[in-house]
Amino acid sequence: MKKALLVILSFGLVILLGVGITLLVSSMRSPSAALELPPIPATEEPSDENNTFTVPLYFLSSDHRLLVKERRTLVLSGRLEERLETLVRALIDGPGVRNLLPTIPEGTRLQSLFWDEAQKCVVLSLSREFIDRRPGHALSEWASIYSLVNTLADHDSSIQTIQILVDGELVEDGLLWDLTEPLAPDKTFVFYDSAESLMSPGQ
Amino acid sequence: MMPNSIHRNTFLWFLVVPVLLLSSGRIGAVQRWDSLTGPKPIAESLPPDYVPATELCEALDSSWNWDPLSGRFEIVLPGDAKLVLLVDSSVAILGSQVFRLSQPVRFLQNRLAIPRSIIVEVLEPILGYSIHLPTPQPEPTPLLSQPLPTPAIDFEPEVSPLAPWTSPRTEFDQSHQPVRSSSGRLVVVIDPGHGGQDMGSVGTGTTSEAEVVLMVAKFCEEMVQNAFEIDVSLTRREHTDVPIVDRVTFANSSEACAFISLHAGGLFDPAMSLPSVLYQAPPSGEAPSLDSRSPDPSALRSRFVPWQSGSALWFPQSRDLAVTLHGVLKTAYADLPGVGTVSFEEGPRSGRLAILSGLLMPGVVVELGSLTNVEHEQILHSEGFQSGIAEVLSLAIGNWVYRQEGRPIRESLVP
Repeated sequence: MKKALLVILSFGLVILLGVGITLLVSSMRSPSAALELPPIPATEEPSDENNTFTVPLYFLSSDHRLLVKERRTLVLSGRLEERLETLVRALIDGPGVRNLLPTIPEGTRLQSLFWDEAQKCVVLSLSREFIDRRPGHALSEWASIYSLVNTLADHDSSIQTIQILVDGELVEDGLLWDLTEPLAPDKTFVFYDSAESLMSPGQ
Repeated sequence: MMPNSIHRNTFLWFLVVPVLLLSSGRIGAVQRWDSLTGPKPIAESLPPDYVPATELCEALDSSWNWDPLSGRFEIVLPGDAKLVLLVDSSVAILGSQVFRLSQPVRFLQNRLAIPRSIIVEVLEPILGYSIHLPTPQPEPTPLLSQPLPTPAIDFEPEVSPLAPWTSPRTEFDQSHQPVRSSSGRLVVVIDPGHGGQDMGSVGTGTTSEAEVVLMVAKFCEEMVQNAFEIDVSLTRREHTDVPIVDRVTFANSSEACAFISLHAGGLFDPAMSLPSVLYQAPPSGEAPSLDSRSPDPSALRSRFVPWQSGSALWFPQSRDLAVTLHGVLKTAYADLPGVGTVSFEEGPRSGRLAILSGLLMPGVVVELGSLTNVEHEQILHSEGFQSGIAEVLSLAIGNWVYRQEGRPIRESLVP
């Protein structure tokens, strides 16, 4: 009698545990724009000794509403500026994941990049195509700007702000977004999901 | 009676806990400034290209008004003209004139710091005489409380250099109520985006954003003026280039109570259309919005992080206007025939928008649709849609303004 009771109790526990785990996993997978989640820690993971790192690059979700991290393995070596240049060029090249949209207008080139350690600010200059070939919607501009800002800021915790220039000049006209001052990263509209680690090229 | 051991233990706890807390610095120590706001404003002199606000006012022999909530500093010039400066902004406003300073006004070392360049860029051209400030002092000056130095204007002007002050533009309404124009009617500024060489987005059928939004703006102008006691001013009436700063200046000098910038830009995915409304607010993590401010002034001071404070006074109103227009736009797309299926966000977005920076009124950006979408290009190009969407926007804008005034709203544009 006792054995039977124990078996029933064990079954009950197993079922409860299963339901709990299922609910937990489904809740973690449901996307949410109300992102009050804590920031994800630095995601650079050295893959081997050849300076290859898995880094997050921010691209646009297919519904154009959120930035989504694509984890890309890149060779990052040299000074901080050189590593950041590699990241910007990877962003310009576009996403390697299906269903993600590019964020940098076609033809845009990185002209120069400078790390101002005193101000904790990265200053980068892009070619004129960044403005001239932009699609024009305010949310397209938002995606262009914050994919750059978030990607660079994620690379090194000492980077606090990013100043975007075009042809070496402050952008005072031509964009809806205000680029006259350095921008801090903004993760309000970033897609956080337990499956983000699955977002890698080839998918 | 409790046993003696309990008494002894209780006594020990009362003794040990405060000692532990004191040693860990939790009580008995003044809360560190940098635990609230970052680096402490230690006693340092300002950078040589900045001058404390008080010193500048003393040199001008002017009085001033300072609003720490909005970050607005007013220097009262001869003739009662008020020069408005905004913390973290390079804009100086005198009546209908807007000046761009080469450096922004800052809040440094717990003092309001004004770039010295304001003298040659703004003050001397206005006042017509030269001004000499004392050389930078090594000692710190507490915020607006240091004994003021001796006036340092080297000579008196022969006549008042200012023309008689006629514009009521600097009489900003502190209660955020709409300001009336001299005609007695409220003014709304509608800004058709782009224009001139800048066509904005251009669809595959060559419809340009500049053209579409100008048509919608003109429809709105007519409809709002006919249905409401509201004047509408457009930032451009032709296909002309208008720099962003001129659009903002125009709106500020129009005594407007609302600013609506119309756009129809494209998206990275040309198959999509995403009508949206955006308003000015700091992105998360940069600064608190005004509606989150604490009623406790000392707490507010500790959290004071001014950001683009030109429009900071109107964050809540801008959001309210954005929510209103987002709602009607969504309904309009559902009701208007032939517009197909479009995506909508759950609500309006906020961010650092250049066209809304420095506005002294609630302002929003409205993206009517996406010209990169072939279907939508045809829709946006049609006069039926343009007047239809203008009707919906006009009713919403007019009623929003009336609601701010406490006036009864209208059910339709027909009187």
